[in-house]
Amino acid sequence: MSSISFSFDDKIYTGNPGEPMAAALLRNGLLHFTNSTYHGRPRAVIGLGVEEPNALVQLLTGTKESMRPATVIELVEGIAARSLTGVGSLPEEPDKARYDKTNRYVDTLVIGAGLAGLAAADEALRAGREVLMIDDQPGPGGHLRHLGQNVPSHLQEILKHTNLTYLCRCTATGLYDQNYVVAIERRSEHLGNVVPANRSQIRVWHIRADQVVLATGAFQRPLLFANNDRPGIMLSHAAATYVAHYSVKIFSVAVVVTVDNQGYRDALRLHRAGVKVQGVYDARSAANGPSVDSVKAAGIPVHFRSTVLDTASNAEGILQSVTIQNLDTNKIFQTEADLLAVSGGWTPIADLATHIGIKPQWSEEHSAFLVNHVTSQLRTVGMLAGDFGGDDDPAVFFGPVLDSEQARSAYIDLQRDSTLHDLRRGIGAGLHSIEHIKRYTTIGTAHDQGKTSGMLTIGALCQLNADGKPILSPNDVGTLSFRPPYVPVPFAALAGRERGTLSDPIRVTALHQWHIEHGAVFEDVGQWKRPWYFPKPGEKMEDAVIRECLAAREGVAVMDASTLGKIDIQGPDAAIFLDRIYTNMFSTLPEGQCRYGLMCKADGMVFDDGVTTRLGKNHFLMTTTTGGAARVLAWLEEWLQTEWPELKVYCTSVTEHIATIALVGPKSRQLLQELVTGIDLSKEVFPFMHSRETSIDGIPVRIARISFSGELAFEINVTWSYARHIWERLWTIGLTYGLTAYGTETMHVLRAEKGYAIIGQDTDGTQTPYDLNMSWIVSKKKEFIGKRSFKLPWLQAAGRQQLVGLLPDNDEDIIPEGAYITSFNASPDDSGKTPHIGFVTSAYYSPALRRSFALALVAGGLDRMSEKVNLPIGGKVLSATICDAVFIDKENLRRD
Amino acid sequence: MITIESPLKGISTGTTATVLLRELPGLHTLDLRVAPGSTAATEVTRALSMDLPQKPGQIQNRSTPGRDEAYALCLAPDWWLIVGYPEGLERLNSLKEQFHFSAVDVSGQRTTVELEGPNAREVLAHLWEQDLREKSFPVGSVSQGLMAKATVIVCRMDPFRYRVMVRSSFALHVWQALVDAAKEWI
Amino acid sequence: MLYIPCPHCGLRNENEFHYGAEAGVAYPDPNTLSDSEWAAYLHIRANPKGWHAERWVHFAGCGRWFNLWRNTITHEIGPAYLPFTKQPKVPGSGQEGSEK
Repeated sequence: MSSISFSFDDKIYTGNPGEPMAAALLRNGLLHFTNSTYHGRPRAVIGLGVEEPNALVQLLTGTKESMRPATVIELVEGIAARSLTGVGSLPEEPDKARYDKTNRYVDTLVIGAGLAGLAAADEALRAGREVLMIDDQPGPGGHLRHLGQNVPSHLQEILKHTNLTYLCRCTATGLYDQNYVVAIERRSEHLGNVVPANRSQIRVWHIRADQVVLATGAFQRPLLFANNDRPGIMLSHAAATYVAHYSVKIFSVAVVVTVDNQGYRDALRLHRAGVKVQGVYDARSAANGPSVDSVKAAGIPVHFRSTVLDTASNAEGILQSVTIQNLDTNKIFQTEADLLAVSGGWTPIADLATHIGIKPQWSEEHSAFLVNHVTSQLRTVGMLAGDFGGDDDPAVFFGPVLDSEQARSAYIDLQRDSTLHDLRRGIGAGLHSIEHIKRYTTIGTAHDQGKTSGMLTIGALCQLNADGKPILSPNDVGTLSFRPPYVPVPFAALAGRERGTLSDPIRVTALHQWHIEHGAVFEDVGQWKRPWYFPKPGEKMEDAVIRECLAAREGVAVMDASTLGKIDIQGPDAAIFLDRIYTNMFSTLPEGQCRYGLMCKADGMVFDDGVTTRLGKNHFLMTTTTGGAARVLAWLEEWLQTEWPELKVYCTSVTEHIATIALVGPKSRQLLQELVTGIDLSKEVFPFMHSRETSIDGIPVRIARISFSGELAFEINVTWSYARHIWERLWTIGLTYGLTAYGTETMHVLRAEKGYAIIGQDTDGTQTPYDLNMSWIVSKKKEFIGKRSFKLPWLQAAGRQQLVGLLPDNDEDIIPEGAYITSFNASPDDSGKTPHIGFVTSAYYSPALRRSFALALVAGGLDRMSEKVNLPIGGKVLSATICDAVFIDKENLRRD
Repeated sequence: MITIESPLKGISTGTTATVLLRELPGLHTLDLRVAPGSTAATEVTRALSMDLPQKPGQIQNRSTPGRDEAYALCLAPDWWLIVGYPEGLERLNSLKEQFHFSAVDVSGQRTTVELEGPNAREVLAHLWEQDLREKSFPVGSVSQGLMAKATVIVCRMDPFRYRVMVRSSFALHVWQALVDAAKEWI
Repeated sequence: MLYIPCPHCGLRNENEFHYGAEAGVAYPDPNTLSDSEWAAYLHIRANPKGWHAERWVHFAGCGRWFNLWRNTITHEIGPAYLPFTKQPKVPGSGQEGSEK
């Protein structure tokens, strides 16, 4: 294997491609990796994988991702990183990498490709099941990889099975209800500079499996003693792996402290790799098994009932000696060592199981929390289920008794610099629950989420909460709640392809391209892009809107109203149905005519509005607000399906099928008549709120005399495919009429001048029709949804917010929408606050009135006509007068 | 001259060696609602001379299987879309007075994007949360759901050919999402 | 992401559905109720710990409303049933449900 070079903290190192950055740095002699976050103490690598609390880096190449443990970064040529003291930073420039997401359904999902996972996959494959096996390592084998051993050949075979998908570098981050698993697959980082074009950096997998097998393995846990954080102190399995597998030759004398047989196995590996093992100190009173025998046979001294109490360092803070305590005699002695390998037992990785509420159970026999779960949907195997293999005989031991001084340097959470002293203070403050202790001490809240510190905390609480009585069982203390994600996940990965323009749907009408070509400035209306205004070169928004408004009031103007929701309603009971839905009557509407309708929820609050046309005896075309289209259709369906199944009515959305063009202004009739030869548009033949079917250039259109501005106006309905043609024809003929395209801002000014409320802008879901001064639309003759609520005393009470007009005393003042309204000359109350009586819902400059005006919801507003009010805005207080909401053409003379 | 517009202007990208994505503009679509098992349903079927699939999720071809010129998608027990059958609406007109059903031309409501090629399923899986396995979504299946947060209808026409029917206003958004999902293959 | 059995479309992810609160609350004759009874119909719903019969609508799929047993503690999903059909038993209890 040829070596490659990489950079760390601005120095060039060499390493083997694919090995962990931590291994290469150790082999290069870099032990003092960083300093701790809060106490500034020297720290080194202690672990082998995602459990690593110390060795955090920021990548300086590729995605420049931060807070990554050096133990999981695979070396590639040219990779650069710098050490972190537990605080990362985000790169300044946007992440250019691709991130994607996919969905997968499988019979069996196996999480973990160690021996247990491989065996489970084998079993499922033999049963004829399709299997997805995911694992966070670069290859299969789990801890065999640390031992440099190959997967047994019969399990190697299954990797070629056609029913198996095996994803390496893929970490399950969450297990959710009904076997839903989210996993992140790192697909590109290990390829360095040879990433294929368009390959994603990280792929998020959303997996639904009939059966999930958790084969997640275990982390080795540390021990708690004074000065347990010095460089040179490592988990024994990590130490043995770095020395024996990754040829790290920086240690000469090792002390091994253990509570299980793993310490013996690791002592042997260190010994065989040439490290002098000064002794194995075992907290148990005896130990048996092949590994113990082998250690003894190798001549390594073994001491029972002994453990580490403290350590000392050289001037650089690196481990120099270890203080050993005899647990029976309490005698202590010091011994020189540059490596202290500790084995505190195994902590099976229960995170995913706890995500769905499974509580791990303490096993005295294993000295560990296990999850033994076997149902047809979810099964645990391997170490998580208590299958520790080997010759293990672990003890329940959480470290020696430490005095208060020793406790200050006994680090439980290395990343958070939280010590036994901090934990004791928490207990002293009256906290007992592990959840409270966690929040008090911040233990388990760093990037590693307590992967090594969790069990130390539980162990310490077993001792401290005992309160003089015998030590508690970990079952009484309980585990911390693990929550997804199991490992940190970059936000970019979670966003996936939903970035930029794909972050949310953008809806466009059939005429969108025309709007772009004609310089429209767009406004987001829900997901729709609607032309806001059409500025001419050099025009500001105010100028454009004034020009557009004047064209509509004095000439002719055209708007794309296609975003209105449209629902085709058919059936013998359609008219009865609409009578129940709308507050006003529709069964009396003659064919070929239109009527404005208002609908309420059962609580009497206005919900949506729009014009509905009766196309035939049993056939209506309803329009809804732009934002209400889906809501209203769902509302209609809900009543038909769940309350009135006897009604013979079908509703069909035709929102996109039909484009709507509004032609507005005194000259609109004359212009349109040039195009429409089949019907007479004169007011005598084609009255207001009537609808006609005809054609333009042979294209079927429906024309209705509907006005949302108070002006003479026509709405032309045409299918999506022909909308552009009709619009272009109007535009060409309109040249001689000064036809002006207008956008939503002008539409708002025009409708507000007429006092037409926009549901959702001038209402907030707490207004009845009465509050909108629309008692005329509430039928007394029939039942409809919401009617009963109008009789409720609190909906009839005085002081409800009601829609009124507002004229600022200074006719240049445009009041910001949302501005609060107070009584005139109101003064602060006892609490120093000035009570408000309402707020402004719409405010514009009216070119027709040549002044500013507004709509507002004001408490008891309809009884406050001509009352002066104040509007505190920033440092200023404006004044205005309440008036009727209709500002223009109260007599409705203009629409004909 | 009258230009007939489609939401995606007949765009296409990719190749059938991996995946070909293209708009099929202007597919005539009829939205049919009728109570299953009713006399109206029988009369409608007869007038169309076309069997309607009886279970939501099924596609029924009007002519020989494998030809997809005219086919019916069952979206709910009383809801079908009939694609590629422009004369269908006219055939039903005479029944209107007598029977309770609803037939609405919705050709402009949606457009269709076809994905064809060995990687078509993989591309779909990137955006489609539903189960696309052979046993769950064989040829002749249809399903409604969410794609890039928009409601779409996915049909499996052939082993390696799918159709995505998307609301016209969402068409460009869904197209861009599909092209992004297909990036590793096109 | 709950996995919900639509009676028409089969198992689908939760995000294709909207929740519609407690099942079996029929729209009453509004004019026979006192103000407080009407207000209770409008605003008061059962919120049990454990199994709960709920209304859901498959808005992104077939658009149909249906009822569903769901356990509010364990998130277990029980049987789905159509409106106006007999309610299946409360899962694991043998207890008969009511009709609506």
